[in-house]
Amino acid sequence: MLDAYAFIGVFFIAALVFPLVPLIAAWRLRPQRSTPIKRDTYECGLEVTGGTRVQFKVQYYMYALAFVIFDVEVVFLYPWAVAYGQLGLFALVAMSVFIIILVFGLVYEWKKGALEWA
Amino acid sequence: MMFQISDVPRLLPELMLAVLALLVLGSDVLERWADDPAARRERGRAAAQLTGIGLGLIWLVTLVQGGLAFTIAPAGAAGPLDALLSLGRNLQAGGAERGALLGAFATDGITVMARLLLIGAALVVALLAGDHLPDAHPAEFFTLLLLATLGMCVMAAAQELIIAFVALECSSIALYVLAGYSARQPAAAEAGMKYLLFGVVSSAVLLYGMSLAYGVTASIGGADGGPPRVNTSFAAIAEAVRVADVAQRGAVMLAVTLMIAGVAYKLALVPFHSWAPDVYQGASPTVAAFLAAASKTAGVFLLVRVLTAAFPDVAGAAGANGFTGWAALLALLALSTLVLGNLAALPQDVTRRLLAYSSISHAGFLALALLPLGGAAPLRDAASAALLYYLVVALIGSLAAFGALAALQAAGVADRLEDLAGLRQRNPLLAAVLTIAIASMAGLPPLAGFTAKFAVFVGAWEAGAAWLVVIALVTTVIALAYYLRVLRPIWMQPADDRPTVSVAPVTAVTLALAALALIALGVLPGPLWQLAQAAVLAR
Amino acid sequence: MVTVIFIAIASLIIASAVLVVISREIVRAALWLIATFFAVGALYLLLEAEFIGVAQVLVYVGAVSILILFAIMLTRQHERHEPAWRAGPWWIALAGVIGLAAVLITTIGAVPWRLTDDDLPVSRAPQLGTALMREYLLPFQLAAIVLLVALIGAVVIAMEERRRRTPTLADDIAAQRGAADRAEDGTP
Repeated sequence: MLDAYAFIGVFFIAALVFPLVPLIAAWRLRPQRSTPIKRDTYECGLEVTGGTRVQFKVQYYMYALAFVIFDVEVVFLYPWAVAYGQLGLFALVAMSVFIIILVFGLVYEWKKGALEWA
Repeated sequence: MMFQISDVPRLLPELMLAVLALLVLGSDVLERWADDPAARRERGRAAAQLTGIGLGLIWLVTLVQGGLAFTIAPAGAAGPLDALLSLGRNLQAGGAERGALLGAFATDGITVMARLLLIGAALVVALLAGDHLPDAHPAEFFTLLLLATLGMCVMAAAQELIIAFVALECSSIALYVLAGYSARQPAAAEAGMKYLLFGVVSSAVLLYGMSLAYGVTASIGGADGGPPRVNTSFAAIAEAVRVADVAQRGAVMLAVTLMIAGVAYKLALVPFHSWAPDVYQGASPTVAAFLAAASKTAGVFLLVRVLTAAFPDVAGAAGANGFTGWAALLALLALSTLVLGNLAALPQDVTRRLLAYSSISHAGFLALALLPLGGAAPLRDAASAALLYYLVVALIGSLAAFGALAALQAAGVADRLEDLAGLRQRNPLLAAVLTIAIASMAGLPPLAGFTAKFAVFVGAWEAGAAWLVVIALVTTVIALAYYLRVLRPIWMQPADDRPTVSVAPVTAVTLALAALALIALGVLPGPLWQLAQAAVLAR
Repeated sequence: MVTVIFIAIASLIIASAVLVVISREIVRAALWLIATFFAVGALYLLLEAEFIGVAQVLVYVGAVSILILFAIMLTRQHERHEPAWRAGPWWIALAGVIGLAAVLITTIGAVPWRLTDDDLPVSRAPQLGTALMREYLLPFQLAAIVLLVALIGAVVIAMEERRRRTPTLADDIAAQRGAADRAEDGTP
């Protein structure tokens, strides 16, 4: 079990090291002469205006929530699908009920206008 | 262990609640409503009426199906009512007890009783909510009310950890939103936020206790030494606890402590009560009524299920023969709740806040009533019946009291005690309802509250917790002081130039029926007592 | 070897969880929370609960964290400021935490945990699926209701009721009447 994950562990460590090495190297090698213009936030070469935090529209949240709910549904679907061979028709009905309830939620959100962007 | 089609009738009330919730929501979003104030009002009333009619129907189905109050005789001579009677017969045939459904869902007498109480409470709240339609999203209000009720019904029937937790979350999440409904008002938003924060912490505590209980059960295994099939079922936990050694019992006690603490938050037992006054005051008054009546009842049923089905072997005692187990924990909670809840109610000036503290002190009585449930069979059954009796009376009492306050608020009466001045002239009906509800809460003799308190005291006394009964008696006398503070402006102070209070007919009838029930159950306690005993014995 | 990996993961969990609590900037707290979720997923993998581990990454790291970040973005920006309330002196909290931890560690440490089932199949997803359809059918279906409640609750809290642009039934009838009237008048 652990051996199978040794590869992933190695990749994970490599993925951590790979960006860190150039960053540290650049930090050690670069000349340390700072000016206010250099320290400024880079915004496509234009002068920075306003803060970094803006208030998002509520629709982003609605989409994220719908995503979470159907994400959870997928998590339930996976073991169901794997075990479907042993379960038969009853499992199909049970999962249909589950999905229909969630689809009802989606229809509700749609009709309510929560997914409209305007 | 598969779900059978023939099991569907055993879930009939819950299924009907779910379908009704979808109907209420669907009929609102799929309808093309206009946007003027009249249409908006009509829209809210449509949702309220559909919910009220549906809940009434579901309540009747539950009553007939449960077969506690009456059983329909087998087919006799064909009469004009025969079609209706055979429908009822079919319903009752589906409601038989055959052990817990899938090992997770008990459909015994206690479940039937819980359904009747919780669906009944939702029905009353739906009827009262006609005066308090929310400014926006009216259908969602009733949908969430129905789904919260569904979660509570499942909670009261749970025989397994996971379904208990999911049901608790179902009702809690709906209640968080309901408590913060009409979030334009800062008080409601604050109430919703406080309820949410305290609620999620309590859920986490409860879940930690559940995971410990599960871990110990899995570690011990079944009676034959192997792992039990459904480790999370209360039966498997009880089986494991029976053979647990000292160290494992320690972990079990820790699990029980955490689980009781988690539910105690929902019940607002001291020291887990600090959210209750703010939430009861800030939330819409109908939601406060639902919280005080239904949410609390459901929490008690959950404790009954967990403690008696999963942990009967660590019940212990809280009296002369020792101070151990969960009985001792409940005794401590009851003690602190009775003393602090009643003392904190004394200086309150806001009526709803005062009733919130009174509701907290009632939770102390509920803890007192739960305490003897770990005892031997005859004593335990009598105590369970007393608990059910108390739950019925407390539910009706809080619905009447909070409902009367809701009606007052709908009529524009402010929330302080002095605003009730001269209510006997301004609206005799509301004055009478408030007086009866409060006198019943105080436990004055001709009313139902007296019988209920008496039954609880007898149960706790016989379980050996005589010291606690004495303290409870003393706090009952203290409680009279603040209850009289509510009654004094109603009856003794002149109305001066305060305007009369008008009440919608539906609200008036609902409240009058609740007050009449309190009188009837006090004068004639027999039928309800028999019903409670039948519910306890119908396992 | 397992112990070493466990200690590494556990210290990662504890460190990131502490950073969640002490971060002054709420976005940073959210990012550390995601790190905590991720490390917990690694812990599940160490326990050979692969499916739960993947689900943890999928749902918590993938979806819930997005939700948290969007929720932060939704709030109006307030300059970093000290919380308006103080929950009493810090040492009371510390004493409470240490006391609770002592109780938990002594009680849980005293239990002889028995680990069974050495010959479990590598993937337990089929068993999970079967259990979901059998013993846990009711909580499974109730979970759909809980998700629906969450969806409705979010809409109620976050959405302003918007003006409908769709014509109502009354508008349709009025339009039809208007058309009929025009037809009677003979005007186009």
